[in-house]
Amino acid sequence: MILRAAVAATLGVVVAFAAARAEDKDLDLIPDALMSDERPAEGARTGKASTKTYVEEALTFPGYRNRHIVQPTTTAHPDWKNRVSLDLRTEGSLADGLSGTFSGRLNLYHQEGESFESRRHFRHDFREGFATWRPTREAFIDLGRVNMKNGVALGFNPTDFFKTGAVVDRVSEDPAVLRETRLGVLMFRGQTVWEGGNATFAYAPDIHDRGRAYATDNRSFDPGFDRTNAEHRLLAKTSFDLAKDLAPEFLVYHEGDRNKLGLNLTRGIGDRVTVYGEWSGGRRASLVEEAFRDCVRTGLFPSATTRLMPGDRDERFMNDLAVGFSYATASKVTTNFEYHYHEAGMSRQDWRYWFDTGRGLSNSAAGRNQLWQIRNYAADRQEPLSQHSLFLRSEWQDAFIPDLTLAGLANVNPYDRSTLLQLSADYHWSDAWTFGLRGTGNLGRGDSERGSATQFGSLIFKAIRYF
Amino acid sequence: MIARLIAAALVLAATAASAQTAQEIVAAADKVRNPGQPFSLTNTLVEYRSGKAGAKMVLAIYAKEDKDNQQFRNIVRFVDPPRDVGKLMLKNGNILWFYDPASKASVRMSPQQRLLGQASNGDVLTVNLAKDYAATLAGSEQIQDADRKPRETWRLELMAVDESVTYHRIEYWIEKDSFQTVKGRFFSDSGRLLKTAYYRKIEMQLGGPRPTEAIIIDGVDTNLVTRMNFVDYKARDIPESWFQREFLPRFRPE
Repeated sequence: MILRAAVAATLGVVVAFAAARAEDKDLDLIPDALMSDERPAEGARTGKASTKTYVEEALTFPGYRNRHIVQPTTTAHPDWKNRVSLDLRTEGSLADGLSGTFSGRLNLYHQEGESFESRRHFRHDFREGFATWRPTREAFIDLGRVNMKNGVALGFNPTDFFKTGAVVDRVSEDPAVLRETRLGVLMFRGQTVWEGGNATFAYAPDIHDRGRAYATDNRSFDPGFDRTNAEHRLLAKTSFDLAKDLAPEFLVYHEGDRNKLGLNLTRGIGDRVTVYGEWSGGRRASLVEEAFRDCVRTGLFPSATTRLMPGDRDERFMNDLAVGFSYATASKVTTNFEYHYHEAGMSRQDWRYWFDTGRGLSNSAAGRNQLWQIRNYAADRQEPLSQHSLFLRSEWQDAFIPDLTLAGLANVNPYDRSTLLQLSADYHWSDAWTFGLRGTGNLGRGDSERGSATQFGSLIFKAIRYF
Repeated sequence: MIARLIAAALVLAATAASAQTAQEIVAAADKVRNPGQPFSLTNTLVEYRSGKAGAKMVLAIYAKEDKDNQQFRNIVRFVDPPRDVGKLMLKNGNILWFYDPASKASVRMSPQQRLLGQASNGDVLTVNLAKDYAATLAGSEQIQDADRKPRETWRLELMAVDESVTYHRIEYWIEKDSFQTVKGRFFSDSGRLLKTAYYRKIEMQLGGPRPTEAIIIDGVDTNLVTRMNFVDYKARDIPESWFQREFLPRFRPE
């Protein structure tokens, strides 16, 4: 007994001594400067928290393919393009219970081979401008141009019904970046939140005919309502807690003479994984057919134009789906993997038709234009071109060195295995400056979705100064 | 020194306190660290690399205890640096959302996902450790605090009972008389030391003496030390309806 106590005491001494040594070592790691540096004052910096302003310089070097099975109709191939943008987002109180939000970007474009005087080189993107009345702490009424984003997926958002026509400058293929440059929609929106639930109603009026050749324009200070408010649209959505970590969001959407339903769902698994799914469904025609109709309606094609692509012209119930998961590691790497299903998109057979038809149109610019407008239409609606696609995005913060963020994304067409690949590096040199490099590649055979793109890739250098 | 070590060792060998007692000590420390009412504070983080001050981040944190499970819900608003202004993080139980006003997108996060440079989400959130960890008393110890002053403490071992917490195991030193947290060592599920934290600068805030500074030493890169200062404690009337994803675009600093 005595022996046991002595052993315990001896072991205890050893443990305690080791602990004391470890404790001293811990304290030695605290820098003297940390202990002596000035502490933050009460109330510092909180007032500036509602405004974000920055200037961005982006120099792009695009690379073009020389050989195409379906020759593009655009001929301008500048060796470089430059954009300088002044970006401002601010919100503030206008009166008791009334606040205002503004978000805009003033761009100055310049590219090889164009004279600098052209007014087309200036463009203001009026992204948001709306007033919010808050009659109670849990009710909100918005009026103005609002960027209303729906959906939980990353690469494709079937329930993001207000995304059509909203992206005016495809500065990146990264959906997270594209969302920052899109226009809002002129709308009335009411929302209420309560414990464990919420409900939103939005109405966006038709105030402008759909613009002509909207996908390639430069329009200076035009707010672009022909992009965002060319149809009457209604959206109602609600979500509420059904069980622990189960709060699905249900959406009902009406546009023109069509209705859609939508659903969003997320769930955590353990401390590293989040799974999510996003679905919408409603009557519509195929992407090929809708693109053709849209070009005729906006006057891009004469009304007597003959359809070159065969296929189903009827409208029927079609589904859009994005399901995926994210995985985070302790070393600050977050990876998302998603499967996208776009029933209206181009099937393997549609792609075969697209290339076969295009091969015979080398002397018909109008015919080739009809084929390429399908692709423009999908890009404008931010919908996948193909029925099936796989999406992978990975981001690594503090990669190798502090303040360096590396990101990569791949969007793969499983029919032809062609891939959109984008790699980027952003270095936060200081609180005020960020420098970045982004490379994009369209990889694949000449008769594949990505391998037939006009550009085989591009390289962008950017610098951002925050204020 | 030797006498002190022997005394500590004897206590270590003889102590057999019940888990309930250890749990009560952690709960008491939670109460000292966290105000017993909904509140907000401003957390300023400064990173020191090899002794030199570097990146700085300012966060406004709103916290309210859930009556059902006594755990805090948090809304974190990024105030500084300018590139992150207006971003928000919501934690309600194990559910985390990140909202960026630039993209208007709310993204569901897993508890391990990092947003804050060197600090983990768990470092800046208000938490009641007694709810997420099972505590056992490992003994009594006199240790030096960050100002190298001796403090009589309980040494506790905390094991996670909820797998979504940031740290799997914590060694925790709590001052006996005051229940002030003096030091913590935080470990991963593989047993790796992730961080060592010291708490200091006790000040009267919202009705009680609370630490207003934490020093966090990185367990892997020991040249990296982060200082967190908590100022602007304010009692807040925070409605339950705020703690959901759809409220994030509506959140305005008050």
